[in-house]
Amino acid sequence: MDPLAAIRETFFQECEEQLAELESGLLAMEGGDQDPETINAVFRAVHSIKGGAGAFSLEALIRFAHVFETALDEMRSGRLAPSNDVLKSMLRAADVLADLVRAAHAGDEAEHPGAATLAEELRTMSGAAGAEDESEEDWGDFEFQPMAVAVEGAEAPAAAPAGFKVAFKPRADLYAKANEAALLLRELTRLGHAEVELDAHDVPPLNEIDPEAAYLSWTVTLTGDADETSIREVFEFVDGDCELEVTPLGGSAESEGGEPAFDLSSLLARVQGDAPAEAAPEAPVEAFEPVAPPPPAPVVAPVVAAAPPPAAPPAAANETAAEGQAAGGPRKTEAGATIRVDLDRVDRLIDLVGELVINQAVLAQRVMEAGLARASAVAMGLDELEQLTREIQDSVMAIRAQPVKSVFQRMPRLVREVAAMTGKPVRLVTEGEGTEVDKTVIERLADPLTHMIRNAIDHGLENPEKRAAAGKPAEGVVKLSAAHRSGRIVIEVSDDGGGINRERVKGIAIEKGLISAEATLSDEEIDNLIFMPGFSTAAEVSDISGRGVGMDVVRRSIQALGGRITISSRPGKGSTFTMSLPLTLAVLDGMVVSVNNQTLVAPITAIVETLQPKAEDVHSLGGHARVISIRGGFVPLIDVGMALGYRNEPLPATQGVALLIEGEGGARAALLCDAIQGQRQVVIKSLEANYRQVPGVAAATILGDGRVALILDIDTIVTVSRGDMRKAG
Amino acid sequence: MTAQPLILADSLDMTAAGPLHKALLDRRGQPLSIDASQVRRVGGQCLQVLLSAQSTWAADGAEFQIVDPSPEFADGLVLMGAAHLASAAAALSPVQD
Repeated sequence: MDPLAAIRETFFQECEEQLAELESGLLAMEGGDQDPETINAVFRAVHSIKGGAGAFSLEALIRFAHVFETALDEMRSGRLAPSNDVLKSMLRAADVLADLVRAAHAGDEAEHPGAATLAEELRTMSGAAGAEDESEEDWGDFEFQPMAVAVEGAEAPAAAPAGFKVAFKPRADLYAKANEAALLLRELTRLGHAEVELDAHDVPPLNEIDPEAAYLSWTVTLTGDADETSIREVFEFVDGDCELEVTPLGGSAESEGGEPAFDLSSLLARVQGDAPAEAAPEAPVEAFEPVAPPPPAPVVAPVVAAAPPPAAPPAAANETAAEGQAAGGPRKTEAGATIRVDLDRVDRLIDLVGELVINQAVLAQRVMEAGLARASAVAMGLDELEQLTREIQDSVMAIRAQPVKSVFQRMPRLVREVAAMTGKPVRLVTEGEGTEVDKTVIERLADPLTHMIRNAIDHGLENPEKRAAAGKPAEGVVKLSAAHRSGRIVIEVSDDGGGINRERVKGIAIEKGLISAEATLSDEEIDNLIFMPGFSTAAEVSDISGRGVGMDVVRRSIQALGGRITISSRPGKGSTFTMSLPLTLAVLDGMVVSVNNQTLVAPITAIVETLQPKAEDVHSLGGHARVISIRGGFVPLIDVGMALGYRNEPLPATQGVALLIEGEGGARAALLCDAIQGQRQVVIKSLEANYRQVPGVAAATILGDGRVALILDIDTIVTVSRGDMRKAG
Repeated sequence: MTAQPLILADSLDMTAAGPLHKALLDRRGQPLSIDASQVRRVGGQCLQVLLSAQSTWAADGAEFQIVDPSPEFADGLVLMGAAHLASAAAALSPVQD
């Protein structure tokens, strides 16, 4: 990737972070947060996006961000009250900004349908002088306007009616941070009639020039209505990376015609005189003279921008400058503390560590086969290696672990949109956003979560009238939470709606032939009918919940992640969908068992206990179906060998070992195997990617002896066997 | 005699300044013709390299000209107050000794 493209990519990554900041800040304000730092953070987020967009000439983005930023600035300065309506518009503006960022990322230049209207809304809101000249422009026209600029040598009009002289000298840092003097000049020339004068006196000969340093300075004579604030705003993002002097025409800094207007030594002298002593005690005058290429260190302390300009500036401009620097500080520290790494590299590392784990297991097996004593130096060294390998594996996994926030933060927008479409007021409550899970899991969570939240609003929540009739507040609540529970991540989506209408669900299932009319089903079983393929409770297919794509798709995608989804519903109180997912898709703690001379692995998370069946506890139901009595209750006894087709005759229960497992919805079953070999962590190798999907088998792994062992898909085995049992019964 | 013209990259942004500097250094001492027909944007750092080259060539007494500037290149120079680089340079380039 060429460097600029890489910087651009980073910009868009950072945009996503800024957008998240923006949204969470606005939501916090909507929730009553009145901390000035929140509004500052929101402002900075939009400001940074605008600044970065400026560096890449993303015009649509710059324009919208500018209008948005102006409105936020009004709010920050207390002129615009953060009322509920204002914040709602701001949230929608945040959505549009996100769209514009994504469109810019994709190189999509089509105009955003809602942007112009919303920009107008924001302008009306801010209604400040600074916004007025913006509103005169045609918003949809992002072309650079050809402007009247005089070439070098042209003198500034002697008696300009109104205007400013802007002296601007970029530092090397300005360019190094992917800002561009040309773009700033372009922005400046938009503010009015501009005459640009270049001072290239400092440019050294070619053999002495450092192409990455900054030698040029400009003096722009700007006439028109622009005020000093809007001029300074152009340079807000490069504050500290350039020297900037804005003086009213006819002011003291006006230079004689023909001479370069940028008299640095006198400027510096003046600044040093005006500025507090500590501001620039060490700023050497010589540092401005580019005799030699400037050193990589900052040339001078950023005193110019902070110094009070001759004309008393509005307080806001100074605040902005100060904040810009304050914001820059912590961000720099963060940049030092984190690095961005290509995901492919991490994945490769994880693959390699997986191989290392397998290799270590092979080695351990070989040592055991060689008959070396447990206390031998080799065996002890191997133990240490195992510990180390495990630690490396955990650490590598931690690299890929991410808080679920990245997917949770997409949901408020979805909720707003669905709420608007359905006309149901909804509040989204999120919890446990910091819960970490493997990035691959996170990526694949977005779709099922989106679907479930849509469902919760569309089908779960009642309309305001029904809610009022039921004595509930008009605003429905959808709660999204995440937590770690026994080595898995549990994500819940709950609503305070009407709960599942079991009569209706059952009626539909019978109507669609999914169950027989005579079937007696427990509440739990009825609730679970909504996960059956082809089931849809919406009386008419709605735009929101998709077309015929039901909860079965959600369940399949969760299962594909090695997860389970369950539902619990209370009539009149609402429903809760609970997803339990593995923290990683790369390793699994497994119980290694033998079935008919085959080695299989059962995920330990599903196993409740293991037991040796006694003859008197096992009861036949006819055919091959059996149940086993455990502490007074009966659970189906499933012969794994039969279920996977390893044998045709069932294993006598007393000759095997039973694994009591808990499947979806808490249903229990006992899996009968020949013997248990032990527990171990196995590296998951996808069977689908390397072979194809096999019912009853979730994945495969490679054991210490180099053989492939299949990892059982316990839920499928239980479901299939249950069907068999029904047939048998 | 003018050698092969130096063709400027389409994007003369900050990443182009280093390569441009090197390309110009390699041509030091020869009459130079720079083809700006493909330039879509030009930034401050490339401009200063070009300005430096212009004065260096002038000091060397060698021919320096920018030919066929694209509208974007010309526009960029005007914007940065350096229109003379493309227009005047061609006309006023010193006669080779």
